Amino acid sequence: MVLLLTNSQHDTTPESVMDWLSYYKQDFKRLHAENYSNWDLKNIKKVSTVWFWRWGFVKGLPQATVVDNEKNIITLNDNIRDENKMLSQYFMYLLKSKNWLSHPSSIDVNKLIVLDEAKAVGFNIPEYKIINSKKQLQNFKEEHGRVITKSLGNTFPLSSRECFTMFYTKEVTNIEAVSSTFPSSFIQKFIPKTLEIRTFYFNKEIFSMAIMTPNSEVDHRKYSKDLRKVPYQLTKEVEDKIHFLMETLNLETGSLDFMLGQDNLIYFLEVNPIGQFSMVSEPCNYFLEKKIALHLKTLHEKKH
Amino acid sequence: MKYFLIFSNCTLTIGATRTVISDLQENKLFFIPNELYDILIELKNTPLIQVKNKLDLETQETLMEYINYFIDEGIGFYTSSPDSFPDFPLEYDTSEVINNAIIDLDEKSDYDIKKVINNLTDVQCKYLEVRAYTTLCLEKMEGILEYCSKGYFKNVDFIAQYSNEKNYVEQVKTLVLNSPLIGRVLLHSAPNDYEDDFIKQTKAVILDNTCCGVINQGYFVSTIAVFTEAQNHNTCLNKKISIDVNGDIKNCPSMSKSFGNIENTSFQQALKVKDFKKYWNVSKDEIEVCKDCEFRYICTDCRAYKEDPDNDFSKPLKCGYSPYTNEWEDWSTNPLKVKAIEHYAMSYLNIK
Repeated sequence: MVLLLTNSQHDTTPESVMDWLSYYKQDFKRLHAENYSNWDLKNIKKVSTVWFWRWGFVKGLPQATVVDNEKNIITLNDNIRDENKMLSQYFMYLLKSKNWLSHPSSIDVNKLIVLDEAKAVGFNIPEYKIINSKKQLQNFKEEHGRVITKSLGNTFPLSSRECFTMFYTKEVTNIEAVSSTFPSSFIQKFIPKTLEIRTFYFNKEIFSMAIMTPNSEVDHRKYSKDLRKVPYQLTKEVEDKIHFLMETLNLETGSLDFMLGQDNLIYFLEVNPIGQFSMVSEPCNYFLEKKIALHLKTLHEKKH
Repeated sequence: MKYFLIFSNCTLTIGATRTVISDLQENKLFFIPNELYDILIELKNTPLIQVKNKLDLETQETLMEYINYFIDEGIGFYTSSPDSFPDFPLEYDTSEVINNAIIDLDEKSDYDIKKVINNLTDVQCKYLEVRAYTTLCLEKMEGILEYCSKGYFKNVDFIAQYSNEKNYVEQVKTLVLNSPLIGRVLLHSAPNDYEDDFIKQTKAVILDNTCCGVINQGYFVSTIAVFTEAQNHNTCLNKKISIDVNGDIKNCPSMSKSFGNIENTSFQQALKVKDFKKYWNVSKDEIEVCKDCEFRYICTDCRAYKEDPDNDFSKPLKCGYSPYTNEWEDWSTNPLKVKAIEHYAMSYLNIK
C-alpha cells in the first residue's frame, strides 16, 4: 500500500496523483496531519511506500484560550505544538523502513546553505547579504542600485477579516523609513529580468516552465493579470548544474526558481524541496502527476 | 539575432482557406491568412531580419503589422534564444477509463439509476450529464447527486423539462447553490428564455435524443485538454459511455448500436465488447471536410448524425460551416441535407 501524508483534506493537489494511482490499481491511503491519530497503527505493516507531500504545519491543533495573560497563551500553544511534533516524529520513526518519496529529514533545507551550494556548483546568483543596520543597507544599495528583500524561512500568510497578506519578495525603496537597526534580513541585488523560470525536478528529470513576467514586477504572484506560461528548455549546462545541486542537497524532488536576466544570464534564486508540481504540469502538459504515480508504483513493487 | 515567436501554447491550425491561432491558455481564437502560417513556421528558427529580407516591401509591412498585433494581444514575443522555447507537447492521456457519460430519461424509463452510477464509479467517470425529456423531481436529482458523491465525479449537469410545480425553479436553484457537484441545469420547454448564475431556461422543446450533435462556434473550446485530445481521438465519443431511455448501454444515446442493457450488463463487460471503442480514435483528421477545417482541434464532433448516414467518416450533419468559404449556414434548411434529416427522423425540426 502507498501511504500519502498530507496536512489537510482541503489540499486538492494530491488528488490528481491519487486518480492515477487508482488508474494503475494501486492500493493507497491518504492521511492528514490534522487528524491521523484515529488511524490504526496495525496498518503500518501493509505500507510499502510513503509519499510525503506536506506534513507538520498543522493549523487545526487545539488552541489554548483561557489563561491569565497573553504570554501564557503563547507558551501553552508552543507546548501543544511540541507535543504534536513528538507524536509526528514517532509516527515517522515507525515508518522509517518504508520506501519514501522524500523523507522528511531531507527536505528541511536552509536557503543560505542552498545559496552557498548553488554558488559552488557554478550558478549565477544575484549579490546578496545579511544586513541588520540602515548603514549597511545604504552601503549595499550604493554598491548595487536597486535591492530586494525576502524571507529566509517558511512564511505563512497573515489574514484577518479585513485583509490577507503574504510575505512577498519586495523591493526596498524607502530607506529613510527604515530604523537604524533591525532584525537580520536577507537583502539581494535587483536584476532586471526577461522572464522567470519554474523548474520541477523529479526522479532525475527536469521540467521547466517560463513565466513571462513584466519586468517591473518583483514578485509575479502580486501581478493580477494571468501571465503567459509556456514550456521552457534550459541549456544542458544549466541542467547539469541542477542535477549536481540536487544530488549535493540530497533532494529527490523539488521546485527550483530561476530567472533570465536582461543580460541573458540565468540566475538561480532558490529551491523548494516540496515544490508545487501542478503549477508547472498543467500549463505545460507535462503529466507530472502521472509520472509521480508511476514512480510510487515502482517503489511499491520494489518492496514486494 | 532577434527572433519573433508565437507562444507555444498558441497553436496554429491551417485550414483550406485560412489559419486559426488557438490560444490554449486564454481560450481565444485569432484568424490569419494561410500565407502567414508559412512565415510564422519559418520564423521559429530563422532570425526575423532574414525572413523579412526575402519578402517584398509591402509584405514586410503587413508582416510587421501582424507582429505588432500579436505582441499587443500577448500571443507573440521577441527573443534571442528560440531554442529555449520548444513546441508545445501534444501528448494526451487521462487517468480514467471513462471520462464522461450521458444518462437519458423519459417518462417510461425504469432502469436502475443507482446501478448506472455505481458502474460509472467503477470506471472512474468524472463528468456526467443527466438528460430528461420529462420533468425531473427534486428528490430524483438529489438522489443522483448522492450516488455520485461517492465516486470520482467532478461535475454533474442536468437537462430536464421545465415544471410549473410550485417553487420548483427556486428549489432547483437552492440545490445548485448547495451542491458542489452540480455544474449546469438547463430546463427546456419553459414558458420563457431565462438565465442566471444557477439555472438556464429555454423555450426550446427537447423531446428526444435527436436534439444532440449540433455544431456551432459556441461549442469551440480552445484548451490544452481539447486540443491534445483532438489530435488522435474523437472529441465527442472518446472515453464516453451512455445509457439511453431504455437502459441500453451505448457510445451515445443517439446511436443505434447497443452493447447490452444495464439490467444485465456491466460497463466493464460492455467496454470489452468488440467495437465499443470503434469511434474513440476517429479524429477530425480522418473526417471528410473536417480534415480541411481550421477549427478541427477545438471542435466537438458527432458520429450519430452524419451527412452520409452510411459513411463512418462523413461530416457531422448538424454543422453548417464550410472551411472552403468560411461561411456558416443553417444546416437544417440545406437542401443537400434533407435526405439525411429524413433518415434520422429529426422530430423537433418538424415541430418548427
